[in-house]
Amino acid sequence: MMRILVCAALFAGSLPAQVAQGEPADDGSLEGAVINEVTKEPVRKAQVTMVPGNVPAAITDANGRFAFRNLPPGTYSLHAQHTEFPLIVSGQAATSPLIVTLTAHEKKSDLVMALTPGASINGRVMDEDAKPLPGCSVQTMQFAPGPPGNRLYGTRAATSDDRGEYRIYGLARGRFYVSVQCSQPLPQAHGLVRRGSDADLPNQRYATQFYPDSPDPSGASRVMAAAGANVTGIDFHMHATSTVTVRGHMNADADAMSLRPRVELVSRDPLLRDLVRYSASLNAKTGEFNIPAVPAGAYVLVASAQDKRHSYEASLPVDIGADPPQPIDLTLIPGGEFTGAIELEGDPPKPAIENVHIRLTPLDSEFSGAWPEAKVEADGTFLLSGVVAGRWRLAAENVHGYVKSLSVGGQEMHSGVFNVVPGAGGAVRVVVSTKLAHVEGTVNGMSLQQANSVLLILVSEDPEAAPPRAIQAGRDGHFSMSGIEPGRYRLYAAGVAEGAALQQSPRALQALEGRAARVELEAGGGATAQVDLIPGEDVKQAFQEAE
Amino acid sequence: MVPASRVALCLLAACTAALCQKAASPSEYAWVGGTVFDRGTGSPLSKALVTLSTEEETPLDAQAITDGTGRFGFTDIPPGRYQLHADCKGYLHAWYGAETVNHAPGIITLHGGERRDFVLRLEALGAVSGTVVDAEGDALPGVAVSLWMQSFWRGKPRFFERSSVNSDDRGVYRISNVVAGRYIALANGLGRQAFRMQPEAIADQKAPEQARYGAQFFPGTDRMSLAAVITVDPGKEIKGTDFRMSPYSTATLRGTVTPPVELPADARIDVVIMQQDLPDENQGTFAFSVPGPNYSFEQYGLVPGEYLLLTRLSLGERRYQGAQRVEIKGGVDKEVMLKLDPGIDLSGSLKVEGDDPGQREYKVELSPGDALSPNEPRPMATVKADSSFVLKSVAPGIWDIGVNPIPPGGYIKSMRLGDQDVVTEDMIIGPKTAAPLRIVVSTRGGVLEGSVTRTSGEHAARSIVLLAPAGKFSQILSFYSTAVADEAGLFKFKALTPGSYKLYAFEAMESGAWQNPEFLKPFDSYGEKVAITEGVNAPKDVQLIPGARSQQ
Repeated sequence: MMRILVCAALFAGSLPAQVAQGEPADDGSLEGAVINEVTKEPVRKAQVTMVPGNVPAAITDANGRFAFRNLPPGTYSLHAQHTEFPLIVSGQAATSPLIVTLTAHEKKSDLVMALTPGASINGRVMDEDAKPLPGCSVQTMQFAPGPPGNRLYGTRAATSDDRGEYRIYGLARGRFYVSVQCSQPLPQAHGLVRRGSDADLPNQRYATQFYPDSPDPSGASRVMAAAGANVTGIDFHMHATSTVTVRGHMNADADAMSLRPRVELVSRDPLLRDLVRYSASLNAKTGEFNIPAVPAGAYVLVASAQDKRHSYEASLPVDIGADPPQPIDLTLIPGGEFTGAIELEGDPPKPAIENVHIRLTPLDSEFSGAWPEAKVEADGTFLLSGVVAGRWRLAAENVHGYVKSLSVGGQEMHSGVFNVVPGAGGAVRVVVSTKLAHVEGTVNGMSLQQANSVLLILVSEDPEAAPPRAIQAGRDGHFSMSGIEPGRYRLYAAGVAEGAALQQSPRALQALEGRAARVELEAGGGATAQVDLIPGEDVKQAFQEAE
Repeated sequence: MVPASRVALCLLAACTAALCQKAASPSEYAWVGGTVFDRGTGSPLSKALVTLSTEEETPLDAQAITDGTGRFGFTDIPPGRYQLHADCKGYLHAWYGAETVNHAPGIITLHGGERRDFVLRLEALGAVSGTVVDAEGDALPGVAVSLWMQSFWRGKPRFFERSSVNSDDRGVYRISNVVAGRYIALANGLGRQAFRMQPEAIADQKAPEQARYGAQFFPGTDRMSLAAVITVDPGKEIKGTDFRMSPYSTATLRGTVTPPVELPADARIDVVIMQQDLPDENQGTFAFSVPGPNYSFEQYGLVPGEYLLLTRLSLGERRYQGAQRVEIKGGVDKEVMLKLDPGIDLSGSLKVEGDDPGQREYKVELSPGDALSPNEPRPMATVKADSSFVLKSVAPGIWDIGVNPIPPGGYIKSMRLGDQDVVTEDMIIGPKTAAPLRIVVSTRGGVLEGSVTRTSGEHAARSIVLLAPAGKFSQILSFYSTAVADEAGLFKFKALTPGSYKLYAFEAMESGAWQNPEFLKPFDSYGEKVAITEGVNAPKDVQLIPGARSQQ
């Protein structure tokens, strides 16, 4: 404290000199407090940062107070954070930045910044006899959009302890599915068997469960975690199910085998795909594989292997019942090769092909390998290898243009998207046009407080087009976006914090469809648009409805 | 199709091959049953996994699960020698015949038509719990709290990490599945910023240096030597092992490494900064590599304490190393100059005395004896046909010498670096070491047999026999040997180094307990003196030390 006083005194001493030079006195100040949004109590040791300007961070005192001093007039953005408050709350940051405009010599002392506390979910995992089950992984899960449909993804996780208890904390407020997986197989009684032999010993396993005691999300209910809530009693009663060993043989050439193929049984339920998967141990010499302790269910047996140049893949639907299935034969198919040529189209002078890359983006969410990529030679040719079956979107990188047309095997494709069947290959022709479009306009309904903190989100009406992009509007509400592929678009305006989350959520974007401005952009053309700002409350509501 | 009856088939096959040539009638099988209990409370344990294993290298295993009353049973067991052991969540693995993990497991001999009933008592695991808070008592989430158990390394106390968890959002932590024993607890907040209240921020002024947390041992000390020993009893939770972390003013360490003249311009020198007075080198280490032309570095945010600075460089086969200790005081920046000493080529010879029918290829390998280079590649050399070897570029420091393979029954007869006996003394390599390392291996190690008896005169089955060097070599760990007596109390040692020893027999012994220099002192009067020579020695009997406890 002493040190600050000394510094302030020094600064005060230099002040008259500045005034004498006719410069404005930098003696404005911003003071306020950080509070817990739920309890309204002060938050001590919160870090408050401020931009622009060279101002160190303030750490709030026991009363949650902070102060920034010696400030020149201007508009400042203040941000507060604390380790006990999660950064993102289901579509909104724990706090939106506080925008404050300070006039010369002004001293503001009544600022309040509220931090949203995290929630926690607690419970026990128990076996059939209500004995604790330690070492089970409990996850909170939410739906997230993604091609081709919604998928369930884990947000936070915890492991049950020796008392079967778990605690998932730091949750953003929201509604969560809670799932549990106890991965260890349960040994069963058996007679004398040589240790390490490949005999199929009987095993049971606890099947994946969703709260409350449902095998899948459809029978589950979501747990509401309000800000700062400590939800308790989210208990699981696990039931052991019988399992079988799945065996088989993989046919693959030595090259594919040397890439250590991965073989897995994956649930056919798209929502459980990330959660329910059992991996095989594979003998790379004989190609024999076995997957122990698999419960009954509908699966896809997936095998894949890849390095930078090659990709191999195989998949086969498999239904597992109470008895071990027949050994399964699986053949790894190498990815196809596509030879191609790219043509640049646009106003002269035509850009030279330099360091241009062709990249394929998978549109099937089960794809987990490397994305095929090829460098385009100076003459415009390229070779894409290791392209496995699936839907792909082709894009050209390092070139200021868009894929205007794509033909594969002489057939025209839409939006740079094409389908590859196993082992297929062929000739690809890509026309990249440099005739990009632009859009500009203004945001309606912006207050002074929101200057510099409004996001414009451009969303294509074509569901298979590239993901939405966003830019920030200027202080006067004006915006300008260029380098856009021609097409039909929707434009949304929202606060920066909500907008960043909105951009990631097609469901919420769809819910707010009626609030967006429509624009149609022609090749090389431009458009102007008036976009109404969607209030933060409406965005929050759209999020809640979207879930 | 995998036959559903595959297990049954295997069982039959195993049975045929191993033991029952004739079609066995029911009376030729044995039945094994029993009950599993919690050793502390005496209550039966359900869902314990009990395994009956044949006494073989790769055994046959049969498994049973205990019912609600802790009972298990194995039917149709062919006669033979077996071991019985059990697992249960929250309990230590237990072997029949071994009262604790420090006892040798028992052998069960089954005869045809027999019914045998056994009791297995499992020791419950414990827990340690508490909170981690800051100076104001606010929760500190995400701080790693670990438990360390004392053991010995090269005759010196050393701690080994047993478990670690992170504190949660409430600052609460709980380490479970802790084996009963004596521990010290460490909360490691190293590198973590301590936010101290600093509500006033003045434009254009430098932010005050934020303090950082250090490592704290329970109860509230930063010195490992002042850490309290926490005794965890079976099945008990030690609550209230709380940490209130204090922030430290930090300092910046600036250093410059003097490079060897032959260093190419693009080479980088590795620097490791290891905070001392921590139980191991993974707790507080910064590692990076510094480029030329200045080979300077700056490490900020160091909390006060003693640090070991290591510099390392590999140029092709040539290796360099330097080590320096530095004391850092809170808020006082420090500058150091570091140097690199080149490794030396250590040449030597390895001779084998006695019959060595194998004509094997011998290798000489060095391992660090000063913990300076725990993760570094170890110098290794192959012994040539003319018995010579050269260990390339051995960095300065203490090195332990290993020979691989030692012929069966053989021992290292002598190792000398010049005139120095490096069997019984540390081999310290310096930048100027030039003496050759001469190793003699003998294939004629000593053999000693004997039996262990109780004071009552009966044989002490499964007792643990320790042969400890006597006299001036009593601290030379490589001379110690242990053996487990069989069911008849007989033991056998092979490949012994000739010399004077004392022989002790214990009911149970913690693994490696003899590495503690204090361990044998209370039992000194029980030691049976024995002089070991090359080859077979006269049998020596020893009495079991009554009620001896071997806890460290």
